[in-house]
Order: sequence, then C-alpha cells, then structure tokens
Amino acid sequence: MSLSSSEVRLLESLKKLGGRADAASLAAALNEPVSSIFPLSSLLKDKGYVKTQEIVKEWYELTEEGKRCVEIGLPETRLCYVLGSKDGGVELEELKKNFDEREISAALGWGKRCGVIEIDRTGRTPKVVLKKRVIPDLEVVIKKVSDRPERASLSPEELEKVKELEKRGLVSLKTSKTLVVELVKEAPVQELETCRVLTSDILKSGRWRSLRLSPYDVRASPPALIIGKKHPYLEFLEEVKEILFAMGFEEASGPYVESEFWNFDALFQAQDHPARAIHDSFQVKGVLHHIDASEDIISKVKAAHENGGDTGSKGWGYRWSREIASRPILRSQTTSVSVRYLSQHKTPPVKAFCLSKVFRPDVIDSKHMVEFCQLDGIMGGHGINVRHLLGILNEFAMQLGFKEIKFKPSYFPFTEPSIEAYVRHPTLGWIECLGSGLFRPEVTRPLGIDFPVIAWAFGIDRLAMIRLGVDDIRELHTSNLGMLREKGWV
Amino acid sequence: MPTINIDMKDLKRLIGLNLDENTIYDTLSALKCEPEQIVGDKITLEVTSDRPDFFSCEGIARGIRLYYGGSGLKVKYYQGSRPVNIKVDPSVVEVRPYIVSAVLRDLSLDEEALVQMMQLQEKLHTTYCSNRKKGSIGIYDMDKICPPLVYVALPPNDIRFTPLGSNEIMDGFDILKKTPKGKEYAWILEEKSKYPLLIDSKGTVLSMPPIINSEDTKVTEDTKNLIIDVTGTEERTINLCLNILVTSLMERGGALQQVIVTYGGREIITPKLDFVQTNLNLSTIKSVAGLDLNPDEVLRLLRKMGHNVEGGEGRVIVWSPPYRADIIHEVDLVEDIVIAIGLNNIKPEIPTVATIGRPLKGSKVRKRVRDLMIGMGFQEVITYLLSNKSVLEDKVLMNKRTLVELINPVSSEYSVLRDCILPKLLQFLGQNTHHPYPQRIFECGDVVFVQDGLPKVSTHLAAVIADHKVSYEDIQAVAASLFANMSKSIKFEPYHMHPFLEGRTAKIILDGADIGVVGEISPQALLNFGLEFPVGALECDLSPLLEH
Repeated sequence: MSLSSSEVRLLESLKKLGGRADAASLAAALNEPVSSIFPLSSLLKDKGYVKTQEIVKEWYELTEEGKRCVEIGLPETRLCYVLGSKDGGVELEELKKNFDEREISAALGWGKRCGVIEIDRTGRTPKVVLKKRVIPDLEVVIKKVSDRPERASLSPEELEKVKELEKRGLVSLKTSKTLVVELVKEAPVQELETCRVLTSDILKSGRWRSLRLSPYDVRASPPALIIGKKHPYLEFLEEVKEILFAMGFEEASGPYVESEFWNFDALFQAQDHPARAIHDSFQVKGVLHHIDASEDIISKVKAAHENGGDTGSKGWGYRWSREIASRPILRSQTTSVSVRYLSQHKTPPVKAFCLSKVFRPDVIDSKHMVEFCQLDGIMGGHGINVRHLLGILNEFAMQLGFKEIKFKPSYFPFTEPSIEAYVRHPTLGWIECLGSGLFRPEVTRPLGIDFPVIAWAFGIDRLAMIRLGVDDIRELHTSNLGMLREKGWV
Repeated sequence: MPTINIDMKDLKRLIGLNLDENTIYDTLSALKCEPEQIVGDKITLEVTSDRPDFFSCEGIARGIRLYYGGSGLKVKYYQGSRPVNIKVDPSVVEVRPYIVSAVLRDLSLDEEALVQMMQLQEKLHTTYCSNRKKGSIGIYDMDKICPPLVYVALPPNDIRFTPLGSNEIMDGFDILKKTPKGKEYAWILEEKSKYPLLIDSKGTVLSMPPIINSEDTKVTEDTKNLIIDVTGTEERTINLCLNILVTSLMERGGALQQVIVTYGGREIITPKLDFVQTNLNLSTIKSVAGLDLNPDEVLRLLRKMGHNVEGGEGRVIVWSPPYRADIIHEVDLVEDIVIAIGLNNIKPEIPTVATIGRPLKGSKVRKRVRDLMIGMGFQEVITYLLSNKSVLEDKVLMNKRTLVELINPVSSEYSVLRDCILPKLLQFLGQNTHHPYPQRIFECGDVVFVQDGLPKVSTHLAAVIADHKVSYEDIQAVAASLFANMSKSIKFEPYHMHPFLEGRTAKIILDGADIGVVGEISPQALLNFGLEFPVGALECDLSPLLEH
C-alpha cells in the first residue's frame, strides 16, 4: 500500500519524537494544523503503520456565576454575614433587597436544612433569625473547583458537593479528547519519491517538500581532490625569510654566474687555495671573462692578496692574477652576494641576507646535489663584534625552533675568528648547521668598509630536509607529482 | 677540511701531562680538532687547513700541552761538526727552482711515529703543496747517504735509479709511466724536458721530486738519522712545510742539524726556526671579540696558545712559533685569544641598533604571482636551474642559442643553465604520466640568458595544463586572469614559435612589449616528452612587473 509524502513525513516525525506522540506535538513538528493529524493518522492506522488511542479527560470549571461567587462569597455565606450583624433577625422582605430570588431561596434552603437559621413567622412579616454561626461547607469546595480539578482527582464527598454546585449552576463538567499516535512500523524507503541530487529547480519549484533526499554513506572515502598549493620546500624557505625580516634583515640578491673575483678573491681566498681547484666550482663557457667591479676595488683586492696592502695584513705572498679572477664560474657560495652587497652599502648599520642557489661539483647522492640553497647573512656596524654574532645566531636558531645552540672554533679563509654552530634536534642530536665569523680586514677594507662585519652561511637544505621529513636532498626538488599532491606541510 | 688519524696512547705520551681522556677530547674540540670517530685508542680527527701543525699527533700534543701550561717548542741543535751541504744546479730553475733541507739525528722512531710522519707528509702534500705542485717532501735515511748533495735537473733518459717500492732500475720516462706515484703526479712534470733529481756525492739518487724517492735511501724502523728535503716552486710554502716536519719530529726527541743550501753565490741555511713578530693592539681585541681583557690576561692567553709575548703601551708584541702558518694579521691572534677563553664562555649579545627588514621587490611580485596561480588551482613545482641541451633545445624543437654551459659538469643531465622554464615543466609532465589528470602545474623562478656576452638573470613564470581535452582558451584564460588580478592589461597577438602549435599560439603583450607566449604545445613536442595528452602552456617574463 503506497504512502503519500505527507504520510511519510508524519511517520518520520513520529519516529523522531520517540515513536509515540500526541496530535499537538506532531502538528508542531510537521508545522501543520492539529486538525490535519486526525485524518492522516486514521489513514496510517488503516494501513497498519500506527496505532491510535483516544484519551478522554474530564474536569470541573467554574461558570460565570460560580466565578462571581468565588469573588464575593456564596449566597449562604453572605446570608450568615448579614444575619450575624443584626440581633433578632432580619425581615425576609429586607433580605430580598440584597439577594436575588434564586440566591435567597438557595441560601434559605441551605440554612434551614442545616439548622443554621429559622424563619420566625410570628411577627407581622416573617423574619429570618440566625441560630448558630458556621462557615458554609460549599465555600471550601467551590474554591477548589477554581483550580479546574480533574473529576477523577476528587473524593466522593467532594464530588457530591461539586454536583450540588453543578445543580446550582455554579460549576460545570468539561470533557476533552486527545489523540495519541504510536508508531508500529516505519515508512519503507522504496515507497517514497526520492531524489539524489538537490537542484536549483527542485528548490525553486518547491518540489523539495514532497521529495525525499536520499541519505548517503557519509563514512565512505571522498574522491581525491587535486588542489593547487605551494611547494612545501619553498614554503619553508619563505618561513625562514619571514624570520629574517622580523630580525631586521634586508633581502639581497646577486648573479648565479659570477667571476672568480667575487666568489673567491674578494673573500681573500688565495688563487692557489686548494678550495679553488677546478673540482670545487663549476667553470662555465658562453660568457665573457669579466670582473664586475671598480678598478679601485680590484687593485685593493690584489694588494690584499699579494702583501696585505693597507689592510694591516701580510697577505698571502704570491703574484695575484687578474686572468684567474676574471674567469666566470657558477657561484659556489652566497657569500659572494654578501661582499657585493657590502661594496654597495658602505654606511652602517648594514644588515642583509641572501637565500638562494649555489652550485658545487659534488658527486650526486642522497646528501649532495650540484645545485642547492644557501643562506648567507651579514651585519656590520661600528661596535659590532663576535658577541653580537653569537647573539644573532642564537636568536635565529631559537626562531627556527631549536632550543640549544653551541659554538666551536673553525676555519674559513674570509673570517677571523671563524665559528661553526651546532643546533640540537630532539631526535637527531647535534646538527652542524652553519659557518660564521667576522669578515677579515683583508675582505672588508678593499671594499671600502671601515667597520666590523659579522657573517654567517647556513646550510638551509639540511634543515629543510629535517622539516619536510625527507632523507634525500634531491626530494626537495622532487619530480614526483604524486608526492607533491599528497605531501602535507609539517 | 683534512682528516687525520692519531692514537690516544701516543697522544697522551707526547702531551706528557696527566690529563684524563675527557679533558683531552674537550681540548681537541676547543683547538679546532674535531673528533669524528673513536674506535678504541684510534681517533679520527677533522682538522682545519689553517693549522698544518695539527696535521699530526706531535703538533696536536704540543698544542694541548701548551693549553695546560706545559712547555712549547724547544729545539735541540746537533753538536757534531760535519756540515751537510746541498748544491743547487742552475738547471732546476726552469723545472722546480727551490729546495730546503734539514737533518735530524739521534731519533728513535717507533711504528706509530713513522705512521704519523707519513701522514703529516701526505696531508701537507694535498693541502699546502697543492698536490705536490708547489712543494713536495722527501725523507731519507741519513746513514745511507754521503753528503754533499746536488739538486739538479736532468733529461729523463739520463735518470736511472730504483724507485721506492720497485725492484728494477728505471729511467725518468718509465718512472712516470710505470710506477703508481709516477702516473699520479706525471702532470706536474709534463712538458718539462728535464726532471729534477737529488743525488749524493757518490751518485746515489735520493729522489726524483716531486714524484718518488729511491729504494736505496728509504726510511725503516731502524733509521736513527733522517734527512728531509722539500723542493718546490714557492719558498714560503717549502719553508713552512720543513718547519712543521722538523718541529713535529722533534717532539719525539733528536737533534737538529741545519743544512747549507747553495744557489750559485747565494748561501742559505735551513731550516730557519725563527719566531715571527706581530703587534696586537689591545683595542683590536675589544673591537673584534667584544672582550675587555687586561694586558696580563692577554699575555697569559697568548702564551697558552704557544706565542712568546711582551707587553707594551696599549699593545702586545707577539712572536709566533715557526710552525704557525696562519698568523698574517693581528685578528688571527684575537682568534687564538677567543680559543684560549673558549667560545662558549663568551656571552652572546643582541645588537641594539634598529634596522628595517624588507624583501626584494622581486620577492614580493613572485609571491603575488604564486598566490594567484595557486588560486587558479595550479600545483607549484620547482626544477633545477641546471639542465641540459636535450631538454632546452632538442626536445622542444627550439633553436640552438648561446647558453651558459659548464666546462666541468659532473653529469650531462646538469650541464647548462636554463634560459626558460617551460621545457622543464614539459619534462616534469613526461615524468608523471601515471598520475591522475588534469595536471595543472607551474613554476616561478629564475633563468639565465646571455646578452652581449654577459650573463643576465630574469624571473619567469611558466604554467602548463595537461588533460584529456585542453584548448588554447583554457590557458589563455589563465594568462588573462593572472594579469587582470595584478591590474595589468595584456593583449594577445598571433605568433609562432616552438614548441607551440602554429595558429593556436599568441604572444603576450604588456604595455607594447612582448613579455611571453601562450598556446597549445605541438604534437611533435608532446611526443618528444612522452606525453599522450594535449597541453596548454604559457611562459612569461615577470621582470617588467618589477619596473614600477
């Protein structure tokens, strides 16, 4: 037997209401008039989906006259009051002025029956005389009826008195019927006009009211969503940059194809220094041999190498070659950018960083790639010294989330003192992460810098690998689209 | 940085003070000798190339002993009377002009001493001596030699001796061709018509520098007296090497006999173990290290590092031992003071000067472009700047052009710098054909191109859409949206270039200038990258956006 959509809705509401509800509650839940519940439940009863039950309720209420009596007292009460105030009785005719016909007969009837009054007909006119003072018992009962008691709640004595009041037209018995609907079986799904997709048309036409939107398995896995997102490695580098901006560093950049001059000579690395051998930097062709620096700087760098020039140094003691210095290479350290920056920013304070690619001819494996990122930072100014270097590095490490940093003396040709720093990782232990120091006078003086400059270079890829949870440096530049799509930012 | 192996028992004996091993390890670190590996008594240290005197156990022991107030360098001279002479023949000038030498007598060298001596020799060769080119060291048994010696250069044919480790007499050519050391260092003597040779008065060959010693004069555990020579192209280097060898060996005893080297009329006596003077201003200590030290403290700390010192007005006069190669400026002495104090005993301080942090203009534009591309549903990728011509030219059917090319690549895969990004994205797509489509990827990065012979850097954006169906307007819409969202108005004009498809390609014009190309990729280019899906692509130069 098919069900209409209103029938189905009623069954569903009934289920939500706990399987049993009265017509008023159902009407409220369905947002329909109560009157509509009766025919619907009757139909559903016939179809076997619900049981119905009529519950009859009886109670007493005051009539208008009764309400008045509660307010001013029953006639017999008032009669006693009037008689009690005058010794020797009151003439009947006199009383009739204060009570109407119906009241006076009720009051006198009650008084005689109870022996409270007596009518003295001895005089010219009959007189009503109070024999004893009582509070009429009906007065108590009528007050109780003002609370609309259910008939069943009254005792037999009370009920007898209420009936007397009823006869006197002061109270009346009321009855009402309540329909209670009880669910027997639920609406079968297939019997509905169902709909899987809610469309704009369905919404606009109002058809949704007579449709059932079928439920889904909300626990089932959704289809894979391919989203556009940033590369996690670059996100890490952005975070590092934000830290440096907050610490007051200005971003700097420089060329990838660099002369040996800026990559090595300006950093006081002797031309026969082992680190300048061909296996330690990429030499390039296709571009001119050229030193992108003023003759003044070139001649001062040359002097610093050969005999120290005016830097206070003894120099390396060899003949400096302009030809070697002008050879083009791929920069092997971003420190080349730092010294270029210094050559253009001679007024302290100077505070800059470069986070960019460097290139070294290493054998490619999980820890080494020929192209990787380095972070170089410098800070220069009068009064800047090693303690500030330690302070800046300490702060930077804390900002990166490390809780401990320690320093060790080291050696770099362009800094003195030279310092290595290690940060403590909660599971990996101490990680060597950076080299740093004060630029040697042989580096700063030829550039025209007359104040101390602290400098540091961070192997940022190592930290990126830890942060991204990869153990092969090549995965930072992964060519696996699946990994980029799935990889979460940690 | 070089690594060396030492033995803890040997080290303790050479230090001579009663230090426990933990103290020794801490001090090694403090002196820039970082323990890398410890297996029983065998310790591998990473040392720094500015302290060649720490390339062997003897120098390290002396450093630690000084650090704890013990004695430093002491030189005992040999009291015998027979002088040792080396005559330098003018023939060496063109080949390897300089030689220095020393004789050490009354040594008793155990096995570990020989190991350390050979290690020191080898480490000096690979670092300061630039793989023996600038200098090379020979050590021989003095008792097998009869002075005076001659340092001469001879035609290879005239050289005949048994090289160390061999059992046959060879000439100069054979030594370079047949012996392992000859093959390794032949490059130093290439194109020389004569090879250097060190011979004694009886004609016994000591060595053919910088290649190999002779078997006849080799050092054994029974050797009591040594003669050392260092030949090379630079006097400063060979003097330093000799000083380090001599001062290290003398940590184990023995007496030094100097050698007289004669260059024609010039006569020099080697080694010259002179302390070298540097003046250190007290104000430099304050300005470099941020330390307020009183003069007595400065003197104490410098002595701890092996220097001889004398106080003066506002400065200290310092004489550094002859094995120190690194003191060329007063700041080098400040480092010694910092090491003597211990870096972790210096209080860090945050500079109080306020500065303004800011990104490069380019970084801001990049960030904006990347955000917009992400908003259009593109996955960001990054590829290396290093690429190869197969990708940048052949596969994309693009013209040969001047690219920055590596002379010494380690892999052909990474042999040129990219001057555009699109080929790398097509390569990326080709490596990911097994992943679900659509694939929308982009990269915003630098490229390097050559203009008038000079390398120029530019920032490019490249983006590709690969799907079952992709049309010109799918990718054109990306370009239009991107620039519209940066309040820039661009125009599209018909254009053709590889790897794009003719008739479905336009150049992107911003303010009258061509800044890029957008279109569908040609089927041939797709096949070259192993792609079986159509691809819409764009690449544009973002530099014009920076000029406002």
